[in-house]
Amino acid sequence: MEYQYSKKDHFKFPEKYQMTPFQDLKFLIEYKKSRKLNLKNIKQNNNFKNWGDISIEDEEKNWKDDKGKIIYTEKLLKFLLVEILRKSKKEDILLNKIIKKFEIKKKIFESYNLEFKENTTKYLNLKNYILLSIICLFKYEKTKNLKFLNTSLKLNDLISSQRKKLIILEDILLYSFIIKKELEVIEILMNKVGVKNE
Amino acid sequence: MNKIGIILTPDTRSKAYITKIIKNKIKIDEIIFMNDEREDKKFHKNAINEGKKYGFDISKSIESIINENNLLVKKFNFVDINNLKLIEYIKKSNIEFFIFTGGGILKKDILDCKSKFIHFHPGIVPEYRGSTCFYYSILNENNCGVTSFIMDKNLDTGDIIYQKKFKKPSHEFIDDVYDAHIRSETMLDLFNKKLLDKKNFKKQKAKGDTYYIIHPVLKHIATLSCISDVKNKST
Repeated sequence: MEYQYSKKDHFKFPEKYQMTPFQDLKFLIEYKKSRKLNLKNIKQNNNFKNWGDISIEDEEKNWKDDKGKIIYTEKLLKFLLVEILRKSKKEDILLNKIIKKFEIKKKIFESYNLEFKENTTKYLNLKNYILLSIICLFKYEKTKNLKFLNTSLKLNDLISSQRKKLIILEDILLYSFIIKKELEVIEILMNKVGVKNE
Repeated sequence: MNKIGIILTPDTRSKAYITKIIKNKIKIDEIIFMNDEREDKKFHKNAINEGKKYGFDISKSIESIINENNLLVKKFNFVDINNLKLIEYIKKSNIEFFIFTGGGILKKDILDCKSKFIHFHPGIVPEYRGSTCFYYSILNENNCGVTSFIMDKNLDTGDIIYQKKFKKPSHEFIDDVYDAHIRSETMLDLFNKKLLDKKNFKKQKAKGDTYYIIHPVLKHIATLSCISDVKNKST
């Protein structure tokens, strides 16, 4: 048995997770093995082409265009990340909207209009998926609301299915961070509800 | 007395609902069966046995339950609550409440019918709206809940008729058996307590949480927590 949910290309074959079968504890063992293997491989294949910056602070308020009619997703997600790190709750509505979009469409588009309808066909920017996953993991740690962990697990499956396309150091580091964090919170949850690893 | 109907779909929930209606001799004025001739799902024998313990047989098709009990049923060859043929039929009926065993959102045309539609949602709302809520509830509260409400244009926001909490199951067949069991038990309460006659429905608080279909990792943790409890008690 293999962990199958990050194997196929999620952009070509979106995963809907409907009526997934129960496969006992061995499923969780395979899931952890798969995530750890991805971490190991991405560290070994780190021939990234350029170095990125994490310049979150500068962009925090510029997530709309000059006319205020278009939302730039990457900038919005960086803004939301800053707000969450500042322990602000005021942007929860925006976060819930973007989570809903991802959960329904299985894609994050590069820009939206103010009604959160996509106004581009571009959705391949992995940074958006990584940023939303970090936000969801931080939100889960802070609130213990499982809807955030649930979305992060799906995002991390998708990013893992695209991991060979991660070529910027910043993205590789952030991917490593989200996978380690995910494994950590899953372990805590298993302990909390009395599910043992053997 | 209200006139009550039920709209069945080819799934285990409908099997549980109609079996318990028959066994408990509940008067239903209209039975509608939406069936797109999909192949009946095959179940593990342990799942079938767990279902039988709760009083229904998931290995039997809806069609065979209907035939065995000589039920008078209006059939449609599609599974779509918003289909115009169904809406036209319902408009002509004099049913006040239809129990709808499926899920999803009702569109304007069907909501404009005089009949109201009752849904049994596997979560206590407004805290647990959306999909696969029983798994989230097991992880958070160590139990499951069902809300019966009048369906409206939004997802799981309708006026509440009745809510009931259940112990989490002691087996792994949650989707196919336990879900059907707890929803159908809540339906029986609705009839036994004559809650549709009383019409004492409560508005939901706007603030709540909407959950999306559960990831298999969380689903496994929730299911294993049900089984581990049994194992721990038996050792």
